[in-house]
Amino acid sequence: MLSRTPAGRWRLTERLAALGVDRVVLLALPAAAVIGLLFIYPFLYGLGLSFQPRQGGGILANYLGFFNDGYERSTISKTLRLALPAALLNVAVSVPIAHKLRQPVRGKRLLTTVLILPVTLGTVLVAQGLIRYFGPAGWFNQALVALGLVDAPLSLTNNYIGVFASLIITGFPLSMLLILGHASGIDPDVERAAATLGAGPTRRFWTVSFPLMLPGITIALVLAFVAAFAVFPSAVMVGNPSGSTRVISIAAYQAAFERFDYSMASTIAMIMAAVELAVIGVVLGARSRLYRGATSGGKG
Amino acid sequence: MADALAGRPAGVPRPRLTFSPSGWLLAAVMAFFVVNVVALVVSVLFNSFASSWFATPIPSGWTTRWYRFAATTFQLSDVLVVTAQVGAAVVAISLVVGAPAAYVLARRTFPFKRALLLLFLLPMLVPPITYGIPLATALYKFNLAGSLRGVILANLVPALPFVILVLTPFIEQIDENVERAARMCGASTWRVFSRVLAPLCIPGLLAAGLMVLVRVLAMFELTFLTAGPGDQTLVVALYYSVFAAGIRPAQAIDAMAVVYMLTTFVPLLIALRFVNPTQMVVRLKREAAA
Amino acid sequence: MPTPKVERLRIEGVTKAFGSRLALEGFDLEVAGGEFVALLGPSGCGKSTMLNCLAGLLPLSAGTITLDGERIDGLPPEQRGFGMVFQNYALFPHLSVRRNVAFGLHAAKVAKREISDRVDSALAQVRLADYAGQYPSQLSGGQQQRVAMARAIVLEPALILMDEPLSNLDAQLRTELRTELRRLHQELGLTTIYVTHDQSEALSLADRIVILRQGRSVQVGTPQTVYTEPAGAFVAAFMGYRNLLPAQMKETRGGDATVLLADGQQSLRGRDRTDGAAEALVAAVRPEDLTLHEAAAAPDAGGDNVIPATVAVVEYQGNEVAVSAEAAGGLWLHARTTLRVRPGDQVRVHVPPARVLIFAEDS
Ligand SMILES: Nc1ncnc2c1ncn2[C@@H]1O[C@H](COP(=O)(O)OP(=O)(O)OP(=O)(O)O)[C@@H](O)[C@H]1O
Ligand SMILES: [Mg+2]
Repeated sequence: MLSRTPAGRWRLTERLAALGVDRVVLLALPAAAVIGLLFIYPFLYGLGLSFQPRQGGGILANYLGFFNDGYERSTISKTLRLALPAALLNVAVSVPIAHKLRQPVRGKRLLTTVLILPVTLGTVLVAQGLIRYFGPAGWFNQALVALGLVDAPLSLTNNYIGVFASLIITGFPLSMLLILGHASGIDPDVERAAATLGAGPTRRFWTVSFPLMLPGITIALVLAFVAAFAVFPSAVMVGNPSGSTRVISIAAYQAAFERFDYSMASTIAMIMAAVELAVIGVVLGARSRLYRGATSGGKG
Repeated sequence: MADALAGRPAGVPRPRLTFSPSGWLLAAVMAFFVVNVVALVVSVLFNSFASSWFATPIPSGWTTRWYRFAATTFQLSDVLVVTAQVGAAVVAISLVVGAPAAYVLARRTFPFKRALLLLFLLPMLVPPITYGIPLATALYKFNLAGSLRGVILANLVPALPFVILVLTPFIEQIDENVERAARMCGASTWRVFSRVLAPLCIPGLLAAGLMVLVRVLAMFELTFLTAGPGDQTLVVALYYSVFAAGIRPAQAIDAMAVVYMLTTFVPLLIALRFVNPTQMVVRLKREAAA
Repeated sequence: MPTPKVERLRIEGVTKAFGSRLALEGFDLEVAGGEFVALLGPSGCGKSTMLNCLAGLLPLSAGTITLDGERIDGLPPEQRGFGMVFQNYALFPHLSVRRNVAFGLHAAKVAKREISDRVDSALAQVRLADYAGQYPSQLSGGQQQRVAMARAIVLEPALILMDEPLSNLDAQLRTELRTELRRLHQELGLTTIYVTHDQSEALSLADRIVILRQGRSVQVGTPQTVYTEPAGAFVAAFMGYRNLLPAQMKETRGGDATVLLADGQQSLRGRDRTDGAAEALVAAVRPEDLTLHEAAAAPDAGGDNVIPATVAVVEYQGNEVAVSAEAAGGLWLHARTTLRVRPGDQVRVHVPPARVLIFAEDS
């Protein structure tokens, strides 16, 4: 029985308790406060700052300045030209491999361990390695020349190719592990059931496995894109940071730490976030069009 | 833990992969990728021990002097101390703050739970460089950036949600009846936490802590944006060593890279004893729920 | 009853090894068209393995499977034309009930109109016509079970394989679905192989029962045969012979034997089912074949073949009580009676010799 205050109202604590809020729930507050102070507040602060241009000229001056300056504006398309193909390729290659590896097979753990290495090494080290390995005197070019595939070493660094390669090396394992982790959780009997109902391998893949893997694929595509869109160290180290690989994060960095225009830097960060969210929205929208219905279900 | 996850009795051999033509193609793609990654790492390793290496398959001579060179020119010992400090602080704080939140998410339903979950997920969906710039700006405003404290605070942003996302399913799979049984035996809330839950959570805490450590070591952007000259972690020092003024031999930079790889590999290898590589990236179920 | 689609399924010498462990060893079975065969055995004896081998989901290590004279053991599952109801249902979570049931018909490229008609009638047969638009996650366990059945029967397969389809259900639903299964089998004339570890399920459903032990079949027969004439102590234990009393042979004449029970004093007459060579024997008796008499009221009731004992545990079970009583030499007897006995009472337990089966202990 809940006790009543003289006024006949439930006591606040009891009303909260009825909703499932008690003292234990307060344990989540410190974490929420940390994220609120270190993530939400700076974001809002940055958003506010972006509307207070250093040179004045109205609240939208920074945004107008960015979009009217061709050199700055082109960073968006340069970034998308890197990030979209890289994310799509990473995911497209991961799907069939993860499908093949979804059951427990020998060597799977070793393979996934090898895959986790580039993810944990991070872009700086991969870029640093690519300078050597992809360079004119590196092993890759030596092998190409030795195999007679090319006459002279290819120029693979300080350009688009170098950055793209670094995005594949760190991005492919990430997509692969995400999709594989999700696919391993799918009940293998469901695909077997399809086989006993007369569906051949191709049909099984497209009508059963692929739709069931789709949530994992979607998340992998989103995260792969987000990671590739924010490419920074490799764009500087193995790219051409004043030309073809001057991505949007370089523009933001230069505004903040070379011109010390924090207002403009925040503006570019906000534009980055908006473009990311737009692409994420398109991906999620496409997914829900492609396939409706309950994802989880059945027994166990 | 990994074997139990695979759901197969120990000692039973796994089925071999059977290769169809398309299977061979996929295997070839995979092999090409793995060979290149390994070759990339090995070429960095070779170069760091090379007295000189031009367009030949193998360096012409071997030496360890680049490590000594790197240690003095790049103040390697200072950088390692800073890296250890940042790593330890971020792991400790994110575990202490994150574990209780994970407990609440695992055990309770309450209004706005989905909103709270979304709050913890957002930092994983927005890349560090995007929120790092406003974060660094805000930290400079409060005079926190350009110091060790700033670096630690910035690194908490991705670390804390990660701890929560790893620990929540871990706590979920601990039978709630164990806690109830402890209460029926007359244990207070604090006692239930310290004597029953904490010991059961140790494998999860250990795994989460190690994975956060690996991530902090590799986290370039946030540290780069918030560190002053005296508080760079190894990965940022590595980046600067490529660009800093003055002529540095490539071999010395590669020696730095090898030291960085070793510091990352040690916690990584320990972590892999507790978790599957596929679990190291992110828990998908939760992710998809939001 | 409609004519079955197959005449004869023959399984010969089927062996399946997982590494060095043999899950099935030289398994033989012949199934006639329209027959309902139950595979019965304890957990881990290889029942699911046998079913998966039949379905083509596991490759055989040795042996052959022929259907009407044609070898099928090399065919992939989708070309065998069998239906399977999985132990965990394995419904397609992303498809509605209707699309789940229609899946196989789409794969077989059946015309749209016909698909819709056949799905409707299959759903009506399992009484789920109202749930066609739901998703599996919105159904109860019993409903999911029936979708799994509809999905298999809609194809009218030559052979339908069921892997403990009722094991996850509550007792009432289980009896209901059991009746439904039997009705479907009779209506459609489906040849069925049904895996279970529940003897009452096997007895009530099957035309023939196969009892498996560690990958080998130990008895094949009609429900009556395995129930009344188990081939050995293992089958007897499975068929409700709860009293398995250790014994040694005293004398054997014709089909009858007299044995000495564990303490060496008490003798018991029964039917000899040993091959004559065995040393260690067991006397197998069902609880319901033991008759209890109160020792005080009737000191020599029951004639011969009587074991004196002390009541230790009494469990109330409605009309009757289940009694566990201890006899000399640490012998435990399990019986059922309508007598109102209490723990500590002295009783005389009578056993009709025709109901005692003497087996070699390891049979
Ligand atoms: N994929 C596998 N790999 C290795 N061993 C297996 C595999 N599947 C089954 N086994 C082994 O084969 C034996 C038979 O297993 P099976 O699944 O056929 O048992 P079952 O009779 O269906 O048992 P239950 O009634 O518990 O379902 C068991 O000892 C099991 O450990
Ligand atoms: Mg089974």
